Amino acid sequence: MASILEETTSAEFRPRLPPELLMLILEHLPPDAETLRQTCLVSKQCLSISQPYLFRHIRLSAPKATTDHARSPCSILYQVLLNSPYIALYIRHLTILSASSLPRAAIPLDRMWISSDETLPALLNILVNAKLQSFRVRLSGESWQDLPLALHSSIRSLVNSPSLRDVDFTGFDVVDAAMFKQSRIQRLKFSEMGELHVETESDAVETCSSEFSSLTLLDMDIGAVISWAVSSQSFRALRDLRLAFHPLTDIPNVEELLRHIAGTLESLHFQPVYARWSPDNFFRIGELPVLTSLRLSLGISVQSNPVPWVIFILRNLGHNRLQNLTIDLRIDNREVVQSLPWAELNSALCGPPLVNLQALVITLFLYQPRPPGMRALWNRDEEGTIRWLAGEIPRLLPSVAARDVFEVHELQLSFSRFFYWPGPLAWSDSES
Amino acid sequence: MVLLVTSDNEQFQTEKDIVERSVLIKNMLEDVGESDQPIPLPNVSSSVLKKVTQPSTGPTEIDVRGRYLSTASTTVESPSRPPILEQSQDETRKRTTDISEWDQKFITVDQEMLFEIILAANYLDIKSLLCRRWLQDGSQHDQGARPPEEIRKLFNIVNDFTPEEEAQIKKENEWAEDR
Repeated sequence: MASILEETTSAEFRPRLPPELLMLILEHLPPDAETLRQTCLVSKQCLSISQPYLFRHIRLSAPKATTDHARSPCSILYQVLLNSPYIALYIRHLTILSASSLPRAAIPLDRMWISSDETLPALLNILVNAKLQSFRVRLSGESWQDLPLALHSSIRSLVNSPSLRDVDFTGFDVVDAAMFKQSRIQRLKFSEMGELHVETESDAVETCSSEFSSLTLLDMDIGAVISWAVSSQSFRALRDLRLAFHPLTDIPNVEELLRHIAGTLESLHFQPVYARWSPDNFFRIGELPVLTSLRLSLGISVQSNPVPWVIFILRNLGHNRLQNLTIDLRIDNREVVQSLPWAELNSALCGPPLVNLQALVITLFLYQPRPPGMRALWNRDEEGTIRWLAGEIPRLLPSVAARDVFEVHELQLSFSRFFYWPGPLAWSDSES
Repeated sequence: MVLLVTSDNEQFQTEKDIVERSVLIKNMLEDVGESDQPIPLPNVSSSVLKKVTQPSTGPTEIDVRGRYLSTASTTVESPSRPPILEQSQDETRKRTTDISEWDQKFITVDQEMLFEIILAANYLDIKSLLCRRWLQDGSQHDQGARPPEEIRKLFNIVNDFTPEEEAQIKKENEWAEDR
């Protein structure tokens, strides 16, 4: 009894941190789940701050081989949300991944879990009226057409939920553009898409209420997007366009898409992967009167040299308000570097269309970035090439290097970070 | 060098790049321009200022909350400027690991000093001090989480959960994956 009294008294007289400062510390916590789990249990006030962070980003992937299907991550989360509905309001970002994204050590028992997990549609339905901001689905080994109708319906509802702003679909064999008609999505990203169905009814324009500000298209046919852009008002305010991996046959479509959105486009990121560059397939950016940012990500190898195209584009820039220009160079070897038309590039980068730049950035990448954990085995020649080139840039591009807006960076990123750059970096981080 | 004057009237000549970790002081310096005039810090004692201006706090100027937000955001703010140039996540993690030993020493202070440091960090607006691993277990090599009872003791917080409530929270949080 005496010890309890003593403890209580000493606790009362010990200094206490003002609650608002404790909140500040909790808000600055390192993002690891274990610390958050512990701080949730400190007090009700700490719980109210920590638990929303704990459930902020949910990633649903396949059950591990040892997991009973009835206890899949999805079904457990569903039970949690049924028992504690307030937790659904903490979830801001949801990622659903097919099995193949798992590391080898955790090969799933059921590779088709998205199609077969009966709790997934119900879980998504709960989130329709929550506060979800971004939704990402990656299908791999499963097709949209084979998913149950209940799941189709849930995904459609979620896409149209009032809070959702970002959608990122990867690996869908088919997507119906009508799904987005009534959505409030601002940023849309499609990767490795099969077909895009676009409705052609005359009332399509009238019933559409969505308005995209950012569109990212990786490795998919642009032609269908043109039809969508022309038939829908969703693109009337598009400010940010990112395109990567487009075949040569798609060039007319890229040009047409640019023409269609020229009046609003402020930033453009191209990452072409043409094997054969020749003046025949050079395309121009054309007249983009409000463009302020341009980024070109290029792979340079013995087989592929897009630098002449870059020079062509820069020399033929129409009227623009360009302030930021970034050129990413993914380099193969030193011989290739030495054969590039540096003098012409130097001249083009200082030409009249670029006189008002506020930032001119060149980033240098390895052609094959070193995989994690392979430091000892990796070919150091390529790393040496990048370092050498970073040092050589002032000699190769003397007029550019003399500009006070110029920066050169040598980056050693993983393959996926380079290729998925137009999209969210952090997604690929969370999967690695 | 910048001259700082503490609440107990001690004067400190400090490197500009160190004191500029404080947003408050940085703004003051920008306002007054190049000047030899001392900067008064009426809410910070000399013992606390010594602590918060230790040179080894250097590599921790990382807004962890910013990292948090970027973890799940699907927006790349400046399409023309690679976001990686602003702050690589890998680099952030590396730096965070590098400072753990220093952190461990730093937080080994009595409770009164701990509170004073946090209050000063708030007053001076030094985010890196607020996002230190106050809530992680400095005694463990891998910087595991500090148990709730230790956090309560450290910050003098009363446990206001019933055992049933505590059990329910544990059950809810069991699901949340490691980031």
